[in-house]
Amino acid sequence: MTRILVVDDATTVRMYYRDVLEEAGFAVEEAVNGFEGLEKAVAESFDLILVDVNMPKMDGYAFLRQGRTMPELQAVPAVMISTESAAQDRDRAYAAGANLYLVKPVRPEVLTEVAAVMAGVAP
Amino acid sequence: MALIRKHPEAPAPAAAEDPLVALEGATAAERREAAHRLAGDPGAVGPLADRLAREADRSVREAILLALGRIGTAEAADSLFALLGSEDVWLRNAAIETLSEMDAAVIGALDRALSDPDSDRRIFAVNVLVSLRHPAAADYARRALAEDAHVNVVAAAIDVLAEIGTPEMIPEIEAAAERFPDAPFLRFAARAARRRIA
Repeated sequence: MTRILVVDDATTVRMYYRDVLEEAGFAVEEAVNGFEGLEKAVAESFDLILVDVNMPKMDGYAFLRQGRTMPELQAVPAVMISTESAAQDRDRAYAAGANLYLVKPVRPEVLTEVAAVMAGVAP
Repeated sequence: MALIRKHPEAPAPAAAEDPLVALEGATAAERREAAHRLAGDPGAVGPLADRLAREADRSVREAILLALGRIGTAEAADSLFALLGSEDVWLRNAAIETLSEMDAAVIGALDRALSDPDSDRRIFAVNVLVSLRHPAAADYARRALAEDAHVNVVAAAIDVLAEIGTPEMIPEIEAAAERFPDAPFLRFAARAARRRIA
């Protein structure tokens, strides 16, 4: 089963991604900040990571920058999903190591399609 | 005879006499120590905030944030709210965490922050509410819920009320979600909030 790690400090957002993605057949694991995300991403294997920008303890940019230096995470696709929509926010996400940048709120059909394409399981 | 300095970060004695001078000192240890000493001085908010905007050393930044939090005045809260517009994500999140622990001092500044023209700043201001130990926290979230025109600010307010709200607020949460018929996430968030509050 395709496994997705969701890293976001907002409980409702994590619940939403889990609800939508599990309905579409993905397995979902959650982390509440970048530190916890790195711990889980190193300890387990994931096909895709969805990561927020603004989180306490370790933000999404720091998560991606550190993750991309780790052999376990170098090749895992990562989608950064944020409320911030300015061009510099996208640029910063790609510079940190994101493969795609989406602006919240993400519609369910977009989330599942992006997850399938990015995780390499799109028909 | 040459003098050997045992610790390169040791504060210079002259600067250590006045923490406001030491706050601009050459070493991080000097500036960090100065920030700690200024933690009880409400008159130091301006210099602390000014130094924070230019400070590169993480430990000094943390000491300054701690000092501003301990000073705990409305002026200190204002200086921290100003950081919510920073491009520095670490600083922004650290400011939110510090504000969340300041209780009543942030209330006046919250009024202004929730009216900020930048929706991202309003989201950060709403995020302060979730840990704010103040009886008005839920009322500020309800205000954002009822009045804010931006979907992500309302989403943040719903998330806050799911944590600190009470059952009588559920109709307001559902009404807010209905203001955005093209946002399935808000409908989900309202349903989730109902479950979490109940």
